[in-house]
Amino acid sequence: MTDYPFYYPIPVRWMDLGTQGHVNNVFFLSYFESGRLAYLREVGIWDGRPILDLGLVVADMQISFQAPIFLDQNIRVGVRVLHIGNKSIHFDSRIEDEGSGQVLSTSVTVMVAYDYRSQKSVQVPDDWRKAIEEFEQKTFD
Amino acid sequence: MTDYKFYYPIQVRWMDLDTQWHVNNARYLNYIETARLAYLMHLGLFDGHSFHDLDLIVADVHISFIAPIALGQNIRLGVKVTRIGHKSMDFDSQVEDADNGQILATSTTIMVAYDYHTKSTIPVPALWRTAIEKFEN
Repeated sequence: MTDYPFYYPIPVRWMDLGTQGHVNNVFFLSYFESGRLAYLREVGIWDGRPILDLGLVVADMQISFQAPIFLDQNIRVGVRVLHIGNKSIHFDSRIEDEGSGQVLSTSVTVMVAYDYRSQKSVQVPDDWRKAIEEFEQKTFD
Repeated sequence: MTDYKFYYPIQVRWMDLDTQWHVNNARYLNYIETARLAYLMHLGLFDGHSFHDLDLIVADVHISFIAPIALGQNIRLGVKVTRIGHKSMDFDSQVEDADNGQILATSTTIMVAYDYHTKSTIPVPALWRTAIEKFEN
């Protein structure tokens, strides 16, 4: 069982449901995103306000849908950093049922450090790396 | 350059943008989903309202985000089926700029044949296989 240093609870909204009676697949992305951004706030490298200078942009995402999510479920997103590269950060996240611990979906997302003014990818800042390493209590190569 | 027999135009809405002034990453999946359903309707496999008889569920998605999408861009989605297995199908989609052909994102989605009445996976219906093979040649 993978352990996450950070969990973020997500309330399922009625509008998240699709015609099939369960949460639409697109909202899984939104849940992962909310969890990921909450992680960045928790780690202290982002204050939650729109980023005009140095930020992050999503480059690649893989999601496995393991079980449907229904309106009455209490769910949470587990987030951890898997890898920090020169310009990218790889996030591993998992949506699970808070009560039973059942894994509902897993995802790996690659984010690239990005300067929104020049619209170019940039190096992951040292203070980000340091803050994440401190939070995760490990060193990334 | 991958070739698609089916393209679906998507209008970028202001609400699709996020604080970063480009289309939010989750919306790409919305676009891909919309185009996939349009593909199924185009092939006559879905009538647009019998949702419990739409025997498909998303099992796995992979998206590569290649370039940001801006509000004024004309975009379209290419959709094709690249594999039909016993119980699953792979849909390949590409988001591209309709004017200059620039590829903005690519995606592979694994859909599983699923009976919403019994809530269990089923073999891909023969009718689906025939219709898709005929369309994709």
